[in-house]
Amino acid sequence: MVQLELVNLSRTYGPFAVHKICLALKRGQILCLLGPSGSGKTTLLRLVAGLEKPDSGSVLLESRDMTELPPHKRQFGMMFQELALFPHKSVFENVAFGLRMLRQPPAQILKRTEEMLMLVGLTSMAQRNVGDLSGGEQQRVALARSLAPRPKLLMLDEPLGALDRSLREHLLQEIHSILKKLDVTAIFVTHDQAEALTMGDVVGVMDQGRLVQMDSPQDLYLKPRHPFVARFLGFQNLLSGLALPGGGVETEIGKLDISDNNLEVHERVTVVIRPEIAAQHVRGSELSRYHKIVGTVKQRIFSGRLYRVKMVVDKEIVLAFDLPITEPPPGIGDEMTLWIDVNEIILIKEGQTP
Amino acid sequence: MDRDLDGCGFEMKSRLHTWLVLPPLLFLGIFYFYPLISILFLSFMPEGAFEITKLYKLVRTGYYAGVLWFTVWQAALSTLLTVIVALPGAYVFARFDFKGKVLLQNLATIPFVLPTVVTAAAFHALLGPRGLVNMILMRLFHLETPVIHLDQTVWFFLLAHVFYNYTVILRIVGGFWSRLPKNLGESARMLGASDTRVFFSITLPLLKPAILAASLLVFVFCFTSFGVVLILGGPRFATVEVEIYRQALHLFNLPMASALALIQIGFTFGLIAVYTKLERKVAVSLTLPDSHSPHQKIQTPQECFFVGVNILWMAILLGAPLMALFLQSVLTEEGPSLVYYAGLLENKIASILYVAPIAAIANSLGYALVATLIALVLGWFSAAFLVGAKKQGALILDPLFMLPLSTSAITLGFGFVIALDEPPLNLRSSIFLPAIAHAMVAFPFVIRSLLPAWRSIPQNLRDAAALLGASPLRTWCVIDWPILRRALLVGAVFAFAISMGEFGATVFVVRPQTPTMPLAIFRYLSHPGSLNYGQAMAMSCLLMITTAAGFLFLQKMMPRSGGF
Repeated sequence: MVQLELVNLSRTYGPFAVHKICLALKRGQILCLLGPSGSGKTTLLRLVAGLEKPDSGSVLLESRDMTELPPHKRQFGMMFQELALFPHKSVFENVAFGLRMLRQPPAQILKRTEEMLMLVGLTSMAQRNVGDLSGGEQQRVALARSLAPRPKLLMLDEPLGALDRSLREHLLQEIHSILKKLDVTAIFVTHDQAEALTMGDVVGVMDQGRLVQMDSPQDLYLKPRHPFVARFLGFQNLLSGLALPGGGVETEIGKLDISDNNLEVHERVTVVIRPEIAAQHVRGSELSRYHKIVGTVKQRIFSGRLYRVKMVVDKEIVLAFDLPITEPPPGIGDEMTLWIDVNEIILIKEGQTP
Repeated sequence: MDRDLDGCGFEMKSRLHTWLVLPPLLFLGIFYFYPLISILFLSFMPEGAFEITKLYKLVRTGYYAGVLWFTVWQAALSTLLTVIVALPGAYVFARFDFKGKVLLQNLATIPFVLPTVVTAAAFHALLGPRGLVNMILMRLFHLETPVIHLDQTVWFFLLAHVFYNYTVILRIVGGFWSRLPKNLGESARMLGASDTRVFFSITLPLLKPAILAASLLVFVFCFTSFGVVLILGGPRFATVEVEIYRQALHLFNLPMASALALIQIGFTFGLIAVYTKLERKVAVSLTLPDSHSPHQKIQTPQECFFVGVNILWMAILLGAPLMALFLQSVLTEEGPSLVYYAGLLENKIASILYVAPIAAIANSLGYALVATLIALVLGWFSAAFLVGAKKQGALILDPLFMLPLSTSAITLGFGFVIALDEPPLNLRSSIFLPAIAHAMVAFPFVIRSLLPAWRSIPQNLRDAAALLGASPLRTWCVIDWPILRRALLVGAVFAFAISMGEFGATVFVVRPQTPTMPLAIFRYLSHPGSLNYGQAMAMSCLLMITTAAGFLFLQKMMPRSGGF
């Protein structure tokens, strides 16, 4: 069942415009909006929330048009980047605020607030001042506060931005499990691709106010449909290619025998070689599946789980690969031969811009 | 050997350092505490022996309780009006960005720094019986008598108080408001709060300490307001300040005046103490959210309307009196002319000033120069001591040096009159007395502008210079002086402007034949006649331009000028 639908949502004035955003979100789904800063993620969120008005397009919740409704009547929840906890209220009062706005009876407010504090593990801190809490605890209060009035949609705007890495990973999992437990439909904004892939049921990548691609995390990673998406996911090996008659693609590093493609002859494509699809040795029987690259090692960084190697091919093309540590690659300046699984190479058609 | 020498040098330096505090302490002792103690003695021992009946009388008879009640009442009402009038402006300045905002904010502060007599003259010029508005209305509707009768009513000086203190609310509350994260309100809206509920359950409670602190400050200013009440209110109204003045200078009832001054001292000290506490609370509560919510541009037509109305309102409230003052100084019955300004140069035998108006200008400048010099020297000594003082020393002496600020000018002037007119110190006829009184009011400002600059010089700058081979003297010339020079200049302009506009203390200590500009304006305003009136306007205009220019110069010099 579609919970939230955005139809051609646009806002063109102001510094962070968004253009004709269309998307649909099922009940209980978590959508991660991913994109560099300034790509319009937060603006989109604020448009959905009603904190800003769109120029055109509409926001539908359960098929009802919410576009003209002020934010306090939408029953949406929002967790802000800076948390925006009320500094003059206790933890309990912060969490209870939304319930008080609904004018619920005191007994019900007490019950629900305690329930939410229990959920985030802050029962003992109910009477504390929010200023006295640690960063992680404040995060939990903000989450509990935004969930307490049972919002029909929860929006989280880079809620973990200010925390250090280990705490962030820990809280990320916690937020994920809480959202899933409560079956909340949510939009989570982040600029961190790892965070987006972990958190989202679907991930939407934004660039310059446009939703470039929206897919499941797996599909996004394995089948980016836009060079920007590939680059933003951290892929460095992007080559320009030209489809040849009789199959195969001509690139800067030579002809790649990619047979299973539906390219037209002379069609321009972007070739993406993911860093983990190269191997130093392959069995002879499988040779036909592999493309051989020879180059000079330019950089070799050991990172614990793998070796990251940069090699120079044809004097100017630099390719980066992740290799297992079981077989150390040659030293800097040495020649290296790598085999690439042709079936794993991604082709992005030129015309596939949204 | 070397070490011994070093130790010796250090000890000598620290002893020298202690001597620094002596001149300012001596000055405070003679010209602040001695007059105040004299007031105390006069209250309890009016005839030289302990007698409490005078004080008792003060409490018992309804008239004096009435004076106190009226003072509190008008101050409270003025404060309330100012808050109501200025709060929307504070919101506009806190939340929106528009062209000319900084300029507007600086201009809005000018009323606050104007001498009280100039403010009074400006309101006369606008709304007085022969004010601009009445003139226009009379001409438009062919009337014989003025339409607006605000002169000699409470409302006249209440309005002046609002005009005066608008910027206090604007700056303190607006400054605080702009640092309140915007997303607190948005967050509340997302949780289902309407705009009204956001204001009452989030914004207002968070602004409360700032509003309270600012209101208290306004209350203190209105409580000790003297010039505008005296001139605009007329003889029917007496605040404690005006009553001290009347009892002392008109009725020569010095014991009664000192008993009133005692009440005034008690009240202001109490209020200032509460304010200091509140201010600290404001500072603390502000450290919590470090907001980086940017100011927003004006977008919707409603916002545009709201901001526009506010700016227009500010322009009318703050700009119209000053504009009227200027117009009245150049408009005569025969049309525009500089005749009033020219009149300032003439010496009429029968002048109400006894001397030529130009002499009053010369007196003011002379007093201001001497006062500035004294304030700078004392301020320098005090700041030099406080910078190097141990924590406890600074903790006690810093507030001590600020005491003159929290004492009303009237009390100070009155104290001068009763303490310094008889042996051992008879300075009553000294030409320096007004300058000393002005320096007393001004030197805390010099300390306040020097001290932060002095403290901001990092020790490692001096160390670096020394390691690079600079002698201590050279280090001082290259590192300390360039930074202090600026602060000293700021202090000097402050002191000069304060002295030029000082009215309350001057009324007591100045001799009739050497009046200052504010005094001259006061006399012109209290005597009928269009020439007197015009000359009051002209001289007020000169004083307004002097202080406004000084203030705008300060705004340029000071990197950040947020609070008070």
